[in-house]
Amino acid sequence: MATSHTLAEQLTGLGSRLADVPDWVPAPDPVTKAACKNWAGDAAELSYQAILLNFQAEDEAYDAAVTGLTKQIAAIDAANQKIARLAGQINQIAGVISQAEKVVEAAGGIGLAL
Amino acid sequence: MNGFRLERWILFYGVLALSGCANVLTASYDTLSASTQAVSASSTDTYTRFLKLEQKKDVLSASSAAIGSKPGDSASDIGLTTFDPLTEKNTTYRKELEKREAALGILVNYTKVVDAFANKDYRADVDKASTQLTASINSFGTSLDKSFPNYPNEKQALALLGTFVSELGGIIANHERETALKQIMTDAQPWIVKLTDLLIHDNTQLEAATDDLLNIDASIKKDDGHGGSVTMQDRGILASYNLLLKSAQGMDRLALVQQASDTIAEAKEIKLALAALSNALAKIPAAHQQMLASLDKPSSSLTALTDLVAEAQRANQFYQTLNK
Repeated sequence: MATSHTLAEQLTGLGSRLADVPDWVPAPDPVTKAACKNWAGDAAELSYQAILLNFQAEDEAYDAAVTGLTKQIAAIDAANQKIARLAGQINQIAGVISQAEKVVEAAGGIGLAL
Repeated sequence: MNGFRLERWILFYGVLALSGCANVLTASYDTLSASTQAVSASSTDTYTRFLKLEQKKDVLSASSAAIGSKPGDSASDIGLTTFDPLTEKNTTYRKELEKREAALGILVNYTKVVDAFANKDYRADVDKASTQLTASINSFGTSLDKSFPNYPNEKQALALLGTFVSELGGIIANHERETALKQIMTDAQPWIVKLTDLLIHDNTQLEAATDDLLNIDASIKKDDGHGGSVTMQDRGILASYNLLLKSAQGMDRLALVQQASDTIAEAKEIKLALAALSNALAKIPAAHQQMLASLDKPSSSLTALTDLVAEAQRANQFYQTLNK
């Protein structure tokens, strides 16, 4: 596909250059020049279609890149949740201390009673 | 563990926590995200301009088909498919450019999410939990005082434990963030390179396609809608204007010349915008790579990010100029 596009580009360039040769230049003659103009127009059409087909051929490469980046977005989300859990763990420690407080209060009560 | 040893621990981790906070250069993530968004917005605008130019080519081609045709000649009649691109049914530039736009959108999302992750105040979350912990510890200390008045060192140690957990929480949060950022950015780098390479390559192709829109002049077989085909002349912008000008006189001719001049200028501007966008896109992987390197070496240079900002601004200014 890339080769056909390159060829089309070269044809367009060559056709345009030949078509731009002034009329007073003896060669190419007007008939040849008209043919070159047609040639340039056809080549541009070919190039235009080739680029579009080339774009279509790249779809898989785009999909792969998008999938790769989407995975990293998911990885960031996972890391974010992992760190957020840290605050939860500190809260758990606070909970454990509250339980310990109850145990100490109970133990203190027993000690005073004894 | 006595209170004194605990104090030393806290001092050690406190210093470590402060040094950990400084490692993530959060402002650079804002900049990368903002610049990528600017490139994406300018790309959408330029793609739209290209599609409008393509549409203009098709309208002009259909209009010029009437020139030289005889009354009643069906070639000059306008039908539902008259202005459709003369391309294969399942492939259009619009569809393909939308795909590229969506891919750029994913890149923008990635930079936004990385920015949010790098800038999130985890410390505040940890501090909030620590406040609750300190309240529990104070309450526990009061209970200890009441029940066991002869153990003041334990109460002090407990208070220090609260500070220790809070500091350690901060350290872990920053360490986890930095480790995750390194891993994620390392894994994302080849995809960013791949995606920007594709977009740059395609922008170059679109520049060529813009030229083609001007230069096309070819016979195309088109579905006539009744199971057959009709041969039509697909004229580019230049061929159509040249043909239309042949039959235009006076002020009509002047108006056509003005239109042709504006359309050619628009095509040139689209090409310049595509080139400017490619320059900006080329800077994104380098900026991302330098930011990744700066996680290990905060003092390292971020010149690629500065270059990206400059190119993104240039592309955006160009887009604003086009909108005037």
